Amino acid sequence: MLKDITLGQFFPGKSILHKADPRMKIILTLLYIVAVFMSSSIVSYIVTVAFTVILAVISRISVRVILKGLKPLLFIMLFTAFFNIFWTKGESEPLFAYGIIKIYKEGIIFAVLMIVRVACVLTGSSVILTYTTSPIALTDGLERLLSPLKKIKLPVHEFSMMMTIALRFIPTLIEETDKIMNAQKARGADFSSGGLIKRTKALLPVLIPLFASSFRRAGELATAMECRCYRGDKGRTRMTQLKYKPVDLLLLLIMVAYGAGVVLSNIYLGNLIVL
Amino acid sequence: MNALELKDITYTYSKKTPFESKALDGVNAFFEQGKVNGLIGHTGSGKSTLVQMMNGLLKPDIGQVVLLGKDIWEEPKKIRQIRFQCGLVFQYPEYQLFEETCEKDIAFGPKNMGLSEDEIRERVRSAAEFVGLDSTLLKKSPFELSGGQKRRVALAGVMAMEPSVLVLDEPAAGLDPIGRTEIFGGIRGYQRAKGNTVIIVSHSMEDVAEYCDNLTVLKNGRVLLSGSTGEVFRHEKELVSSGLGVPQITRFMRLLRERGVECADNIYTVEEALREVKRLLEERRGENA
Repeated sequence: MLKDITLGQFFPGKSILHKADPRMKIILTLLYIVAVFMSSSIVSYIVTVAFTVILAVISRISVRVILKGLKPLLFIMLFTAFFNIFWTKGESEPLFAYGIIKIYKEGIIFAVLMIVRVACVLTGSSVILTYTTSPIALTDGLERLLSPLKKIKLPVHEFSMMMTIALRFIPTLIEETDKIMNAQKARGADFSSGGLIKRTKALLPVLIPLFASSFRRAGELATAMECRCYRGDKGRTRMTQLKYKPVDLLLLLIMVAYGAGVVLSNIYLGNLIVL
Repeated sequence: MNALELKDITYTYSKKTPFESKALDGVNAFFEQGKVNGLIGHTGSGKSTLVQMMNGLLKPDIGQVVLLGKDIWEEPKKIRQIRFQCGLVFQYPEYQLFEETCEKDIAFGPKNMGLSEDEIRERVRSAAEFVGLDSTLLKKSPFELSGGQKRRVALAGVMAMEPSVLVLDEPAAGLDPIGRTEIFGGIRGYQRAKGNTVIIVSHSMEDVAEYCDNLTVLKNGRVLLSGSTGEVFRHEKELVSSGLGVPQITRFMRLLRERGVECADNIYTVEEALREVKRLLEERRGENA
């Protein structure tokens, strides 16, 4: 049950996207998100959808996994689309009118484009970054990208170490929660029936042991790190040195081409298909 | 008669993802009523998965779990009742304690069963007695106790439900020798007093030799051997090839035999060995006299 959370989960593989440098992938993701949000004409939307599909295909992440990642946000997408339909005013005659409720053609188009945009951003960014980058590589890349900020005394390394540890312990915590829930279920605990108060109370036998073991684990980890002489950033060397490879340049060029495509089609082909 | 039968159980983790792995592959096993049954296997052989099948925490992809003559998945809505009939003590159960006092923690299971106050009190008292917890400890917070004491509280928490089948996953893992004897003594005491069925998962050959009547050996998600403890330990080669072995004392006696000492070949505990050696010495003395 708890293992179903896939958003932000790493799937090992051997695709181009898996091999690319994490720093480059973070940059690519930012470029990609900007480009998607700049899309404003039908043609640029088509380009965006096509590009996202291509990214998903070359990442070799299964369609099932991608759809499963979108599912938790389906509600939010439908919710915003719903409001867009009713709140957007158009210039032409409303398609449907009942009292103060008026639905315009623009509203529907806007709502659909909104869903497409959000779905693309989610799919694209998880395919470029989260599904294809291990959490360790991800925080490592982030630390390197932000390292210029160390000059103004921002504890970049400490933040990224905290993030690495947090990410590292998410699966452990999930597993632990699962284990404790099973142990309490074996003693007849019931998590799935009764009202809100009863259900919240039923979680106590899970939360208390979970907190207790989290504190224990934090203490043990701190001791283990001290034992290996961890003293923060200063003088720390790395086992894996990040290096840009030709693949990274290729991906960057492709991404720039896509961005340029979006901008150009906004400018020159914006009126090709009139909304 | 069998208290629990597993028929052709197959189970796969994380189906249809890159993490897919087959944990159980057509397991057929039975556990005799009123006996102490051992389930042994190397790490990753599927023991812990199999254990979670027994009380319906996991549902097999294929196959049937028959508890006291009834398929436990016949009425999925009543699966909670199954958990009271087949009590499961997980590995390192001390991490599941949560109540303010040990007494209350042991009472958690019986309370969930909906028993009366008096009945609960009686059950907590008797369960605490089996595992050797005295009344001053019962009033303490479980977080103040030592590891071995916590383990015994957790064990009592499941015993207090008085399940017909008590399943224990590595009950003595990580305990010192005294802790081991205490835990196993408690289990044996419970089993003798109630006459219930016990299933012990372990990879200590010494422990299962001493406490189990029957053994089932798992290897790579399949049953490799099963039978009485004596029968199973005759297959030393198969056991060694699956990453297990026979008790050290059994191997010792085999080596003695290979060197020409005519001792019995069914020695599995140190106590039995001691008796056998005494017998042999007396025989010799008789010959010399």
